[in-house]
Amino acid sequence: MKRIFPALLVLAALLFPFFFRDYWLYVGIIGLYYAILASSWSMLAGQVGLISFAHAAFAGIGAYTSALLVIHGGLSIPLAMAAGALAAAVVGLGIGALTLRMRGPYLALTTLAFSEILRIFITAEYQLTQGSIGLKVPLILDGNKLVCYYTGLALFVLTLVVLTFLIHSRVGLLLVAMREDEDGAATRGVDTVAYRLIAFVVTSAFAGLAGGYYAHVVGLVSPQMVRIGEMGLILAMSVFGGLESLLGAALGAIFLQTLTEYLRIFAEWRLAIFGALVLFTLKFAPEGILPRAYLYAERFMDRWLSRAPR
Amino acid sequence: MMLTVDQVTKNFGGLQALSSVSVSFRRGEFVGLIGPNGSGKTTLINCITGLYRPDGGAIRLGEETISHLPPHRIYRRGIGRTFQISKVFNRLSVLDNLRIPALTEGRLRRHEVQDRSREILEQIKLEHHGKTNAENLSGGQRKLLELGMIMMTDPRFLLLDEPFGGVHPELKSQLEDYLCRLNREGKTIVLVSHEMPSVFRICERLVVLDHGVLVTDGSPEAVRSDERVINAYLGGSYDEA
Ligand SMILES: Nc1ncnc2c1ncn2[C@@H]1O[C@H](COP(=O)(O)OP(=O)(O)OP(=O)(O)O)[C@@H](O)[C@H]1O
Ligand SMILES: [Mg+2]
Repeated sequence: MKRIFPALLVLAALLFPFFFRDYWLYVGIIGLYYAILASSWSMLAGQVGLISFAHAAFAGIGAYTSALLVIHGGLSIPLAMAAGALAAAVVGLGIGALTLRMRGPYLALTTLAFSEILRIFITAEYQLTQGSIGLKVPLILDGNKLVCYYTGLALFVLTLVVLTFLIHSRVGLLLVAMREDEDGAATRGVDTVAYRLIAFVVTSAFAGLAGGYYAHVVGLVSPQMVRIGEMGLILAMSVFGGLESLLGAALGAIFLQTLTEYLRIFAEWRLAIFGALVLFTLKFAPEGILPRAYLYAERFMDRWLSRAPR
Repeated sequence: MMLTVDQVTKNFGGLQALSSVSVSFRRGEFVGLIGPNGSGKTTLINCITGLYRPDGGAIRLGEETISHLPPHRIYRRGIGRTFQISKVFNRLSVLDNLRIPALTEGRLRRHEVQDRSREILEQIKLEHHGKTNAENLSGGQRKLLELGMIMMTDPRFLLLDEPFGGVHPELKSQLEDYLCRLNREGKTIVLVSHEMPSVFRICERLVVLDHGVLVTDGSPEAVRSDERVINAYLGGSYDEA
């Protein structure tokens, strides 16, 4: 089960465009955007214990940076997307350096304020951003859906690989130690501020990367991207899928993103439904619904296999 | 290299946990830091190791003032400590716990870390528990693990807060021997303990705190007969003595 499950997932992801066209393929393309955001956010919240409300904002920074560089700078889309990720990282470094020295809710509060300031800034800077109308952005290969999908998949895999590598590196070990006991780590020589900052900057960069991808597959970026409601969605996806596992959070994202499509008739009420889902998850399966479901499936499989005649 | 506490004061709200405490620890000394419950021993160690910032006074290592430095910098200057209530990383294995301080020391290579942790596991009698998660250790084993962790980077100063707490009596004498050996090898040890027989047996100098005030500083013999110390331990205030 442990080995079959990821293999099945990879296969399903690779074959997805052959079974779903047009509308659902588009849903998949957007789903990958949220999958990158949710897995990187859950790494920050779950592994480091940092609650950032600026993840959607960093995606916005990545999106606008990439869009503007392509439109005004004439940069190629891949280069511009990389620059978008870099821009998010730089802003993350600034915010992190200002707040991560302090413990407690400072990061949450600062990032919340930052998101709103950014949204207002984007809306007001009409000359640059077209305000709330949104900025038209060139598409990847004129919006070829297959290319868009596989680009998203590649970026998503890149995110998982880099973050998993980070978790299993010495940085990851020190982050676990810090989360277990901050004073304990600091008095054994761990520069806790620096390692928190590394985690914050790296995950912010991936949010920026996701944003650039979003801009060039949707073709339109607007202040809607950095609404606090978007942040709520990312949070709901991560909690639902499980903060302890990157893949879980990513699957949570894809699941809720699909659900969003079915719940379209509920319009603004969808967020309330997701809010309820988060509360339900935290109460009954704090490690995430998907890891819990996986556990049950595994047990069921084991029992079933042991009963089957050999 | 001398570690100097110079008129350090620490307040918690209205409570003065340390009142202008001055004391210095010289290289290679084995000092007992004693005093009744709540007298400020742990607070003093927390100030030295950077977890608390003193409200007044300064702490110096040699000529350098270290009382404004963050804890990890103080540790890297060779001042290691253990905690009264053990702080080990519960969800990590014993070996990973040992790796943490070593990883922060850029100079150590991978095989050096491995060799050193094997050596230390033996010293702290956990050689069969390398893969055990720290949460499954007994209280005494956690105390030993804490000592082992800081020994990974070989600090010059060891500030030990109740290292015998919960340690099995048999292991305790071995731990005493280990500490004495470290001291002979040149480590400065400051031992906080309520275990008076051990303290009087192994320390060459005793510093006594009471209500945040340094009452006495001298040889065990002198301290044993000091009236103020006796009063402090009997609960009276030394002013009345
Ligand atoms: N973080 C804190 N906040 C408030 N008060 C504190 C804090 N730390 C210590 N104190 C108070 O400071 C005084 C000294 O405490 P400290 O822990 O240093 O004593 P101690 O000598 O280590 O005692 P024990 O022998 O019980 O370990 C006590 O009255 C304690 O309640
Ligand atoms: Mg104490």
